[in-house]
Amino acid sequence: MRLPRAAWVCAAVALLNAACWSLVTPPLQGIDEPDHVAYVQELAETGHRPVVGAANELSEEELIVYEDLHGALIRFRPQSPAISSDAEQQQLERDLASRFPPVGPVNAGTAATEPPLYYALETIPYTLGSWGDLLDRLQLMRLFSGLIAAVAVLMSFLFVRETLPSAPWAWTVGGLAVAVMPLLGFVSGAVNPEVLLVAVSAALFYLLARAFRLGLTRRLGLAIGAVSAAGFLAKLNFIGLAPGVLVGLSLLVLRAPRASRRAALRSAAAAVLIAFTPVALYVLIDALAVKPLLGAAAPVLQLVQGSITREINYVWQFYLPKLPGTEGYFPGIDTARGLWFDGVIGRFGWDDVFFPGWVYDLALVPAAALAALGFRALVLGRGALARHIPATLTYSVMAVGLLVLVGADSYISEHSGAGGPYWQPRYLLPLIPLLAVGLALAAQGAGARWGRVAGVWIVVLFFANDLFGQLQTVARYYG
Amino acid sequence: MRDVKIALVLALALVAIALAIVLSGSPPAVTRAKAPIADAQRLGALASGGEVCQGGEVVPRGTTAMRVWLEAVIGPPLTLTARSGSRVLTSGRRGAGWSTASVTIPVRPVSRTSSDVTVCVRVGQTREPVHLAGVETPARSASYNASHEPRAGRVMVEYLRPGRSSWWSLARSVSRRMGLGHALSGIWVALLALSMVVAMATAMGRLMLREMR
Repeated sequence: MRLPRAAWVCAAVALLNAACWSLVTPPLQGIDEPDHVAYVQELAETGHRPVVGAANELSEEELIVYEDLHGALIRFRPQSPAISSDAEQQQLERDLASRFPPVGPVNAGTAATEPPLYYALETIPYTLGSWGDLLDRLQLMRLFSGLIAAVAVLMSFLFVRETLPSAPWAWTVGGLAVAVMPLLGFVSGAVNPEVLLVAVSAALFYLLARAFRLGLTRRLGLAIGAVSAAGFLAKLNFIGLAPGVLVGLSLLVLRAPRASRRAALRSAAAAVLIAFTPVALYVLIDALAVKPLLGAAAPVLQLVQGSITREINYVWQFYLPKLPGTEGYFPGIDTARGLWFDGVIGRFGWDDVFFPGWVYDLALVPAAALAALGFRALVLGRGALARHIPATLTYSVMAVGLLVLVGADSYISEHSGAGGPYWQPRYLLPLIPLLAVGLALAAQGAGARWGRVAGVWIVVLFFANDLFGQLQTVARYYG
Repeated sequence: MRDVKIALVLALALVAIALAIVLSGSPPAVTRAKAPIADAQRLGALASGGEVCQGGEVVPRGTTAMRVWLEAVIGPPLTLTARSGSRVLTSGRRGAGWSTASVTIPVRPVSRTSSDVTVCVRVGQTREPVHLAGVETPARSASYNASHEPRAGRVMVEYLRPGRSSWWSLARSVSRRMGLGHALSGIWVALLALSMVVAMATAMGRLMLREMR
């Protein structure tokens, strides 16, 4: 299959965007970046994953660099800029040139519970950067994240192509808009496994869409299985997407013509087998080592704790307004607007880089217009909708599964007194293929006469959001 | 094709105008009370409806926002009032959803400097305690709650007003600072970032003109 040139350009724009964010965000000021770097360093230097009980969170080298950059004083404090004097720079350079003891066991903080695939991939740029110091390696790791984001955008483009095959011009709208989405740029301009989950998710959306159009072939089954296996190894949040994939595979088997249903079933079985192989291996290794099954991730995977109705109520309010007569978990805040919408429009750094309040209010206007245009496109194309019910159901289960997992994780964390709530807008990034389709639909909703014009405005709107997001970041750290 | 071209030129022109307006503005300047962060201490917390006040503040002329050192994961709505005696000098509100170790509350611009001002911050409905940070002081000069019980010290309040230099005039110093603490050093970091933005815009524009005919 030959990929359209437009898909490559969208991917290249995503890479450029991530590279730009990687220059704008000071080192180790991406969210949880110090922990993720510690994980990569541990894996690259010792061949082992972080040790949960280890005394040190970061290696001595990373800790000194973090201190020289005033990392702990900057994060969460919008009033504290990045280092700004030559003396601070010279101190940093002196320390970077020093010899450090070999990396010992580190616990890598919040990253410790994550599976190793992203970190294992990041050891490639880490090792390639062995000629330089930790900052050189960090920059290479950030660029590698950008490459993964480019794959995510490429897959999102292809997902739009599979979903809206009759409007090639609209593929570009969806692909370019997500390529310049500031939240994706920020996350992929740092070291963060979220970006691999986004790429895996986008690939799955694409493969499932293709299977719904062409039928579940053996090749597609194997690909869905392999990508799902990568998902389980990329980030724990993939568990939220997995039920949707299972629903999709089941529907693909059920709707296969009678003659090829058996072949489709075999393909689906192969997909499931391949997908769960890494999980089974994990369990086996832990069982042989007489350790808690699934290691450090085990507590995170206990998705129901305490009262189930309270948990459902919490997860509901995590995204939507409280229902009458229920206990309020988020008093004083409209979570859909105040946390998620505003977060997607722009919260960067350690949630300490944001736009002035009026920007979020203003953003509601184009958001409402896009929603109205998208709705109009759905109404106009309602005749074809029935054909897409199985695929739509699959994507919906994937999306809801992810949202429920994120909400349940936050609830459990609060319930057990481990901190939280955890409401990072980046957790929604695996759903960017759906956003890409939504935006392409919105452009189509403007009608045959104005659709392309609306598409141009949508892309430039996202570009403007990205540009001003980067300027806000520059102002916060270097202004 | 002509429509797409016009839409693209118009949209990019609007972005360029917005950019020029933003860069002609000034970054906010802290006019008073910039404390060494390392010295900040926790001074207790506020629950829903709680209030913290402190007297003896000097509110400089031109103040358009106040940055108060409060900390929360999901910050509740806040109301700030600055009084000189019984007269309300200025006030402002901040909606819920902020999430850092300090929060900036926009206020009505203050026309002249006033001393011995009492600044009060009231917390709206909150799901979590809102922590206060500042410096320890004797009880007589400390901040206090609604029933006038003193806290362990004074909450840090910084007064912000529009700076005098535009972002344009600060471009050189911002570029220099962007070159510190990165793998690459020098003014090249800023220039490289700028050239990437230009490359992105060019690639996007060309692609849209080609694909959306």
